[in-house]
Amino acid sequence: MSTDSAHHDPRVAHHFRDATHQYDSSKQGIWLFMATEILMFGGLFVGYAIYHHMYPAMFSEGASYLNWKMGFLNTLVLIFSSLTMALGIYFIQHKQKQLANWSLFITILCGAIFMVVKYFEYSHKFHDGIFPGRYFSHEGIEHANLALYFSFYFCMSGLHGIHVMLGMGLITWVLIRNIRGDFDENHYTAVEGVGIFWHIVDLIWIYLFPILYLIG
Amino acid sequence: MASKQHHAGEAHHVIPMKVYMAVAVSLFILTFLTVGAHNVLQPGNFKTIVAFAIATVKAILVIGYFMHLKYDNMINRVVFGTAFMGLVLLFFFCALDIGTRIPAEPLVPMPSQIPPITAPANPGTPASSTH
Repeated sequence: MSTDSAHHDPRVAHHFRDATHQYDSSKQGIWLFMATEILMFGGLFVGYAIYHHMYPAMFSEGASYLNWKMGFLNTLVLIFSSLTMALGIYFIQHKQKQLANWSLFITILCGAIFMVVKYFEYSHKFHDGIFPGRYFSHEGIEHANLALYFSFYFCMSGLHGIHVMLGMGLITWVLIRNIRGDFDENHYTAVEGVGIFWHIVDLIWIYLFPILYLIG
Repeated sequence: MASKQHHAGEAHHVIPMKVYMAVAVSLFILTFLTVGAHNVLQPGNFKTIVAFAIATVKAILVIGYFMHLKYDNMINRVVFGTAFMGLVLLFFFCALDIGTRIPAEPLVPMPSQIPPITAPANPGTPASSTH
């Protein structure tokens, strides 16, 4: 029975039984990658939790330097981009290629808006001499080790920002492939994988927003 | 397994548009709720728990519906869940270590406060007098 595995679909690699087998295997790889993402950000979250527990007042002071409205705006932008990413896959599943292209394009645009807001936040901090660790040179602080908070702030939001930019690049790649006609309602594994990556970027921001902006 | 003939695309669960919209609206509402709770509640542990609980509800919505894990197979759920178990272990042992440390000397001197190593003033003194 299982020897009858000759398929003629050029998109299914020869070592897979069929398209479903290939799709499941690809997706399992994506989920393994997502597990490593959780562990990578998780180390920063655990460090944050412990230091926050040790110096709660210092972390409150640090958060008071951030404008929560900026973080709030970025949260809304990222949630909207997650919706358009999911709709991109939805439209591919429903053979609506043009709508899928637009959805993916809007997702990239939202990523860009997020990064622009982040740019304004960062440049404002740099202007005030707020840098991570020993480069911190802001005057008039209450807690001598306030730089520690900003080390966490820049590491966590910076690593997240790198992920946003990587995600934008990956969505551009699947958008070009979709315009080229590489995907149809049965074959869109790359879009699904990129989508899962984009959603985990949103997922991490869901936690970063309250812990960086809304403490104290 | 041989009895099960798969079609390409059979494994692709299609989530209806209204579910996506409901999830997105819920996420927006919960984001407003996060900010509202922040501005209303007094600082303290309760406030942190509320913020974290809302974030976790949002995370479950994103993972379940946007990332399709609710409709995915068990192995992918286990793979992803394992990462969170790893996080719990990491947090548990780090907290155990730091929480049970005996309060140390006030502070380790900064490198700038450590006197530079210079040649002994008296050449007659043995080099290793610390024993």
